[in-house]
Amino acid sequence: MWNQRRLMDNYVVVKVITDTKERFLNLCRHRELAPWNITSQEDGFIANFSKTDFMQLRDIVRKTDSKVRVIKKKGIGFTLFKYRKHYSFFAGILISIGILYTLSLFVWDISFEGNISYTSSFLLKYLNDKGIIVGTRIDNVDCEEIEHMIRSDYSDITWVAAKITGTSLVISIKENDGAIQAVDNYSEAVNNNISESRDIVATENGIIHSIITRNGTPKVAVGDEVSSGQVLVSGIVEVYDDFGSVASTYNVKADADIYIDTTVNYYDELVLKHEIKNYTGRKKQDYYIDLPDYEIFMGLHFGKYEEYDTVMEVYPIVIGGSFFLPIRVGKKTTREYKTETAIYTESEATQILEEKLNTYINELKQNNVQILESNIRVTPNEELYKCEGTIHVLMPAYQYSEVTMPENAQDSNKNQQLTQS
Amino acid sequence: MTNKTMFSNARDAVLGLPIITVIGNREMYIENYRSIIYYDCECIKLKTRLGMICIQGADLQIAYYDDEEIMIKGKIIHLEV
Repeated sequence: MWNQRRLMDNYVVVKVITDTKERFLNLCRHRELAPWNITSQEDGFIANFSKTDFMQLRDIVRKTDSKVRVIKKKGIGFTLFKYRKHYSFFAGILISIGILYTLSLFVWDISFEGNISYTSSFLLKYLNDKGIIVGTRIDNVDCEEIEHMIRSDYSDITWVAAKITGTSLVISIKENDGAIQAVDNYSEAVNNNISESRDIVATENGIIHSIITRNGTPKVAVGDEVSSGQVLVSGIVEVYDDFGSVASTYNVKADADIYIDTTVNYYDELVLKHEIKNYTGRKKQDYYIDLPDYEIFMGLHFGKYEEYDTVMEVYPIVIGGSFFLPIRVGKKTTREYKTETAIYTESEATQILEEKLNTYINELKQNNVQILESNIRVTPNEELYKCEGTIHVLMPAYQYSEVTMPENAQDSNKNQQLTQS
Repeated sequence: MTNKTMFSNARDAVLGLPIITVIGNREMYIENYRSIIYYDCECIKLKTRLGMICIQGADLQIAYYDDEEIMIKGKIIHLEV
């Protein structure tokens, strides 16, 4: 408590030259003055006095016939008094505080988390088109509106959370990573509750390998051959009477897990003659300051490379982890290269084509496709290598579609309309 | 609580006796003292209701003091009450 209090006070370190130290100290105590850090000296003592106590020492000094010498002055009050004529210094502090406060009212950074297939630049352009740009007032940013906008415009983004931290707008998204299914238009209609029923139709030709129907009327069975567009599970459920005829129907959202045995054609080619970049080793580096609308480059360079790559690294200036400023510091590296023509060797070409094939197969597996057999061959040629063949797969090749009324139901509807008219 | 117990527990407050707290041989707090009789780097004498307390040591400093207590820092070698 004593130490904290002394840090806040304005105090002076004084040397009291006196023959009667004890009387001086007792008089201070009697008048409720409180010096501290008292160190005895040969001719007196050194002590710290607060500013107010020091002002009351005159009587005591006179009574004890002492001399007081100020050794140091400490405290913010003395510092401010010392620099009282440095108006620009204090004005600069106030202006800086004002600028920082004003900057804190705007969004200076928009970042995205959890995006995989949608790049950050794509999402940023989307937000810019919607009027949310860097430099928008924080009061004008409605996070709930942003979440609703992104969810409604992109059906395969299943979850969105937008929040403002400091001067940064952080948008976290989660994308749908399910099987190959669902027409975007119909999914949007389902999300908007426009339609209350749907069919499941095939997207590939093949043979039904497995079908597990949870809702709707299955129109195919295991082993049936189906073609693309054929209804696999109908959203119309028929209710039969005792005589076996259709008494009534009602619509549902068809839901099933269906795997179709089909073959997928694969084709890829690689031109042997290609251009490569041979870096010469020469490079230039420029540092620059990135402001919202323009960049200020520092340094001079003479001459320009004929062919070059440019890599720009930008670092935002952040205070405290979330207070982004509208200024960024960047480094631009330009590396010279010469374009040369090269020809892939047989092993290189084969390896590249195999890697691309493996990537394609891995993508299929990530989409719940089971690979049964792969008949791919690489055909060499003088100018290019071809990689073609078929892949025998089991895949969930279906999508949702509007309910298709059966023919007899359509006829009975027409008859009803004619009777009413 | 009887009167005897109450008074025996609050003797320092009622009788104004000095209370001396020593921490190692570096710090000392003395409460209920009346005045400073002598102050030097090697000896401090305080007047109390009991009489005189004499503290001897080296590099003795008065860290702070007020009406109620005084804190002495330094190397304390000898204390006499």
